[in-house]
Amino acid sequence: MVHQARILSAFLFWLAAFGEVRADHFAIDLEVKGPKAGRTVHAETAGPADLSTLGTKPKPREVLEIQAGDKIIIKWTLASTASKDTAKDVLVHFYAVKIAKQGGPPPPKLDKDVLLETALTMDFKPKDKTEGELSLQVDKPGVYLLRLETIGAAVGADGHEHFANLDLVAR
Amino acid sequence: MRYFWLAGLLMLTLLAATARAEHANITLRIIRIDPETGKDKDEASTTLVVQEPPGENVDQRTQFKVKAGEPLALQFILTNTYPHGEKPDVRIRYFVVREAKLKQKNLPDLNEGVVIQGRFTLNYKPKCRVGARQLLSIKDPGIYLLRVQTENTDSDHEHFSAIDIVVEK
Repeated sequence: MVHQARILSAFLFWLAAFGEVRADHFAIDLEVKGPKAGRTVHAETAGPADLSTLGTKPKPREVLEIQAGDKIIIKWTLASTASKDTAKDVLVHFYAVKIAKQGGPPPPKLDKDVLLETALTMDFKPKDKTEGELSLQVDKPGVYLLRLETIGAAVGADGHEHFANLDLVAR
Repeated sequence: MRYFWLAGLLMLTLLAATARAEHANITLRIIRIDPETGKDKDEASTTLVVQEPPGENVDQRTQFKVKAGEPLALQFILTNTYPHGEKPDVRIRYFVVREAKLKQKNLPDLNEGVVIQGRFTLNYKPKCRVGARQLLSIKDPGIYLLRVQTENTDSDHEHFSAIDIVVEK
């Protein structure tokens, strides 16, 4: 019984600790508007302690359909939700890249079929935020992954990055 | 007495030069893309950073000729070289917009004739960087301005770099 209680305590301690380090430090709104419809997606987390290795898969990506030749507007906001810590030199990275199929993984290298890629660096004190608004014309049919992500926000062995993404399907 | 005035003048000149020192480095490129391979072919680029005011000597503006509908990419990297602390909510804006003539001095209206545009709002700390690379093509022949600029830097001037794109049939 004592042994079980110890195990339970250890588990609860681990859960509390894990919950603390995996708390969301950034909120993301990524909004993509086509001529007829739009989608808004929000932050997920990824990083050294990638949840997929613990049996939790990333959420299925939302899909926005447009016609080839349409112009879309991409708006994003990335804000620190930390209560006291400053995240220094965070790289805020956005890209739109053609992928093989809906839901497919991000390409390992952004060296081909990249329609748009942006990056900025910033220190995030509590409540600091950055915003972007971009126009993009998608000329060719295909499936495109649009992804906003942090690079360098993961600190320590249990640190993690944040991202929001969706699939854009041009018919 | 003459030397006192000269020293004062030199001091003022030095102070003015310091006050108007460049606060941003910008590398701006417009690149022709090989439609078969998707690779970069040739390009025009500029590292000329203009303060506004006073504004630009338009004769120094780089030009690049392309064909209508030709695949292109724009690319820029802007680095904040202002060393004295962070400035909140600075905007970095880039755009390709139609202009009436080559070397146009006045900025075109951004409510019409815009091919693409983007803007970022961020806390602008020393040495921070903003960059973008975007594919585009310009369907209609004419003269277009590619420009990246700072806004809202709480300064008496802003910075920009610009290239004229001549789109032929």
